[in-house]
Amino acid sequence: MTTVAATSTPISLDLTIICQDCVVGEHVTIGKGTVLHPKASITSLHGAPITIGENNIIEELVSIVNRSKEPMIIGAGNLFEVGSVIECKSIGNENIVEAKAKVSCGVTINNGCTIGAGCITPENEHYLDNSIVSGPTLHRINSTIPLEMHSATHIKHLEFLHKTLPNFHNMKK
Amino acid sequence: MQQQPTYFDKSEYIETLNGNKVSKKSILCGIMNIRLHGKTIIKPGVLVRGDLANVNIGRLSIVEENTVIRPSYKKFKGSIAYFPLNIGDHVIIKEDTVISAATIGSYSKRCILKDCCMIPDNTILPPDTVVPPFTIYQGFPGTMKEELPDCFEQYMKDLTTNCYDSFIGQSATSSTSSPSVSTPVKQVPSSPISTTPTPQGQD
Repeated sequence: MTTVAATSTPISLDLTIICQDCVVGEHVTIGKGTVLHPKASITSLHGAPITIGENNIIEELVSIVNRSKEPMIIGAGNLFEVGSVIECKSIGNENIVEAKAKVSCGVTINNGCTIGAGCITPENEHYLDNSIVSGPTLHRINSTIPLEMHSATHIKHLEFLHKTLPNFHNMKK
Repeated sequence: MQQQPTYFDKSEYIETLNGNKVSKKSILCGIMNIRLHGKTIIKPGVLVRGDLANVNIGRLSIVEENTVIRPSYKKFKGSIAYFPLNIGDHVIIKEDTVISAATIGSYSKRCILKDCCMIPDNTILPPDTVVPPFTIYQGFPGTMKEELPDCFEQYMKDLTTNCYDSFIGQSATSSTSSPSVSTPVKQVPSSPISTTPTPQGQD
């Protein structure tokens, strides 16, 4: 019987957690503290680089694909929920892409945006700071919720995942 | 109503003593936290996240391809807490669904679905929705569309029982038929015998 010695080490967000069923293609760099849940995939079709910043959470069945020949840059502190598809040019910091949303080619997202569940953004769109896109009509509003709300929960969420995921999953090194 | 039997390859599925049929191509994370109460079918490509919180799935439920069942989380007392997720008996979850509900199950976060309701395709329920019994919620965002007749309960029982019965394993020796459940299924909560090896008490 194997007993997992769950010594409660001080949580360090230095590690990148990549669960074993993930697909991470070549030319992909992932920053410190980012968590990839099982079955996430990050691939580049034409070999153009993908740069992912620190402290992102990438959930199950998310696929980040670089279809263009230009580099793709994703900032820090983003949350990509289950089944979302990211093909855009650049994403800033502290954005949320909800479940089953699709961010199309050529889209630029600034900071603090939320793309609602099931939304499919048109191509070559530019989203300014703190905008929220939701509903079938892609209705856009400006968020008045301060950014700290997101970042506070996000850090807690990251800590939780860093604590629990290594107990259950085999990690890719 | 008689369904056409669907055959599956016995080597592709694991059958437990309680009659659960779990595809080997599904991914169950944190097996010790997932409880299947018997006669549940889990099809290929299903992801169940038991590592985040406990997941309970009732009797005679069917979870179809590429569904993600993940507990929801909420900020709670200054930290993040994942809630246990309960799915009742006789529930059918179709393909490609994302479930983060608190009870029974459908799309989106922390929703509570009461008994006997139906969520059609491409519906997205906003967080914290409570779907009352015997209703159809549809649309984007999901709103109440219709009421369901009282017989829906019996219909779902028959449907799930039929589905389970017609989901027959095929192996080299096809003589062994699964024990039929022709008797009407009662909602008596069976003693929850977890099918997965629960962590044994240390002596």
